[in-house]
Amino acid sequence: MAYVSIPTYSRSIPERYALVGARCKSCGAINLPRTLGCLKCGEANFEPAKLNGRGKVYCYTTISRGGSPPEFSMQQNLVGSYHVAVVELEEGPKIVAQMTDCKPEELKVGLSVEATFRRIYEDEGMIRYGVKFRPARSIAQANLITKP
Amino acid sequence: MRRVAIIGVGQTKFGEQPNLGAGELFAKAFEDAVTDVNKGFEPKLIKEAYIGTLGVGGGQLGNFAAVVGEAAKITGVPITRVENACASSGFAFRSAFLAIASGICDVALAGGVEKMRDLAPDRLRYWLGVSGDTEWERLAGMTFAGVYALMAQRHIHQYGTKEEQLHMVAVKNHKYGADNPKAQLQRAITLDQANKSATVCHPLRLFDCCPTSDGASAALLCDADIAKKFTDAPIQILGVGAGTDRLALFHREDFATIKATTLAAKQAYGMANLEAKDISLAEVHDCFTIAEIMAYEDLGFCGKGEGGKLIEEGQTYIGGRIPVNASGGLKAKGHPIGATGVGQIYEITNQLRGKVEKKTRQVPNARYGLAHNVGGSGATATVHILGV
Amino acid sequence: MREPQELPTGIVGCGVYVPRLRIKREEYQKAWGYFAPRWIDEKSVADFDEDGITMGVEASSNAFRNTGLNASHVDAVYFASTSPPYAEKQNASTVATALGCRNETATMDVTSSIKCGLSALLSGLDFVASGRGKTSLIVAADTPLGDPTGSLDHQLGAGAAALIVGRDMINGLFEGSFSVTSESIGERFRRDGHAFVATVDLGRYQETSSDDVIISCVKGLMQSLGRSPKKYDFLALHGVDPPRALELGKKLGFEDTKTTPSLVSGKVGDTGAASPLLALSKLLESSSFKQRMLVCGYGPGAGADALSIVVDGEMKPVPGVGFDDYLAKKDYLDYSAYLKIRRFLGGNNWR
Repeated sequence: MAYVSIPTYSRSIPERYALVGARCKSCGAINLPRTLGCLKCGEANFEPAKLNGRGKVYCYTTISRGGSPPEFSMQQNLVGSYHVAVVELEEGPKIVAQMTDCKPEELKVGLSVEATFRRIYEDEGMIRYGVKFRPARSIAQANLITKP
Repeated sequence: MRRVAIIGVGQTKFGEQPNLGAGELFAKAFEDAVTDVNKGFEPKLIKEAYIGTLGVGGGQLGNFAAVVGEAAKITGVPITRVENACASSGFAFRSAFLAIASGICDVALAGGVEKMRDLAPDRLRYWLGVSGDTEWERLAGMTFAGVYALMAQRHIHQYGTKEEQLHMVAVKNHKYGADNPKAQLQRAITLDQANKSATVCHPLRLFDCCPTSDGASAALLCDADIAKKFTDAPIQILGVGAGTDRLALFHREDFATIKATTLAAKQAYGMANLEAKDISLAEVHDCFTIAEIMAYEDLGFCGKGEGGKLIEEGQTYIGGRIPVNASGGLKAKGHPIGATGVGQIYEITNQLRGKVEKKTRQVPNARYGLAHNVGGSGATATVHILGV
Repeated sequence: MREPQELPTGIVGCGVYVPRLRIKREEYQKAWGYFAPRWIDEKSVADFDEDGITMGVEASSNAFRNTGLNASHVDAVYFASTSPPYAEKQNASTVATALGCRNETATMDVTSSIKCGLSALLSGLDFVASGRGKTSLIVAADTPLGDPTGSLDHQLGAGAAALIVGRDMINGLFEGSFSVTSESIGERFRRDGHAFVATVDLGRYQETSSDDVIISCVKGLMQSLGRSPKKYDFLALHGVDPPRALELGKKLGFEDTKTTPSLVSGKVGDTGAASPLLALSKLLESSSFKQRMLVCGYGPGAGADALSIVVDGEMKPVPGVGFDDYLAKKDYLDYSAYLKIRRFLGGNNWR
């Protein structure tokens, strides 16, 4: 296993579970996950900013059977290949995550997607939850979902 | 700053070396390098050594420097292990250069070693994932091939590069690997075979990915002013460059380029007072075929987005504008992670001396050679320019 | 029974979630030669990366979307399930963190019976009535599993419902509740450390005793409120299969037309603790002003809870996340994929 320790994983739980990003207090750019220095201006002065989970696929690939990191071996054994995408979120940052609820034919660069909370893997006896992305509901519906 | 020369190089065959552990493998490469110094050389002259290795292989991990000391029979001198993923020995070579250039010592050893074929698949896949971003890329199920697949997809999307052009790189490198007795894969392939091979990570297919390998490499460097004492054919280190970039691909601005390469190349060309068009041949870091296409662009052999065209026109074959990877590259020669960087130095040195094993892959009238070594998905990179 | 007139409480809004995957009766027939329940043709199946917590988060997110509220508005999160991913490590806390609730949120898991969703709802109403907090989120999410060689597994589905409950912005006024307890053993149970829910299947004996419990609970509620079935537009009876729910409804004096709309099990399978709240949410989604509904959740070997709600405002879901929307979004599995995805063949016991 990669052994991402529980403290390392836990420090990022608000980001992993609820897409709480970091807004740079110097330039306003949103970073997710929080970086050692703002991706835009390099400063390390942040405040939390919850993101809405919507974005577009920037690029993606398919991890075919037998190629996955060991944390995902059982997943591959049970359900086969999976897709991983870099998603460009509406607020600006790019994030990497698995796709779910998505047929291979649907997946393309530019696809509108939305975040959903799912089980990612298990390690040290604990379930590691996080966010995956699925094709977004129609634009009309997505707009109605925008509530303060 | 003093000038530095290479007086001897050695490399084991890359591929399967089931009977040799990491230390023994390095000892072989080292012995070959010593023998290569044609007026004679004694290991006790080495006053600094740098070894590149990631530590895959289930053997000694910490303090590997001590193993190198025993393998090269230089126990006692300062030995440093350098780890920058797949660019480990590129950086080890750079460190050896800096040690001599600074005047700290007159003779230094640089090398690399990796044992990858000893591991069970699960463990190997663990190691293959450590050079990318762990907390986010890896925990999204991303693999090393996956990251390069994303870069390939963006290159295709941004520049219209064709998947077939990726496979053309594989065909070229396999052609030269077939004539390299030290290559892991010595079998030419056809474009049709490459086009039809199984998908590993869309859009990368089987022949777009380098194999996992055992192997070791070694180079002996010295102050250029005393090089002729050791050999009639010293090779001058004319340009040295290195660069870094953000660890995670998704934190970078442009996925279709490796910025660390561009930075390293600028430094190396600057120091050597040369341009891309002056280079006679290059060994670039083709862990995946897309990496070679991006390297053409990042090293200045062609414009941005024109890498696909360059291979399609055959310009990177021997006889073309800029022969690339006449050794077979990582693709066919193999990629024992820590050994690759100095393995490229081995090849360029032999090319510049006109001493490549099979004439069919000798670049004629080679004057300036460029070695390009990248760590992971581009977080680290070195470029070295060597000349006669 | 608590008389709520002093401090009106009720349902602000609701959200549902039914997983996309389905398996048809024909797949069971191919695998086993029969399909036990006659009252469904297909059931929902939680995907390999879903469980009670993830489904609960999805349903809750929908509840926030549908009401315009967000996680910072709730003071409590109660999570109800007979198949919680953790037997010990509170699941409600994971749900609350995933939704972005404040640190100062009361959390609690409710489990051990398919009536626990309804029990959690009553507790959530108590929470706001007592003044402990202004708003509570009640989430019921379940993906029960039965032994694949037995027949109970055939009917077991997966789903979730979330209700936001409070003292203000009430759209479904809580009128009263009634609870009974019952120690009937063998009807439906799962011992500690066991993966599968089981039944001793005593047929008519069990049916008679559960009928009595349900009847006493529903009658008890109507008597204490001084109402007759005529006053109700809808009846939801959960914890028994749809044909029995209709029979019992008739016995209690409710026409089939009042009971049928709540029979969600007939569409997605037996969703355990989520079932009564899924039914209630479905009714509320399409309800109109002044409609009155009686919801009773029976738990074998537990008892029953019943409550009465009268609609005071609209609770239409945002397009795309209503119960019918989820019914329409489906992909079918074959039996071997079902066995693998639900971990019957190994690969960790995911719930």
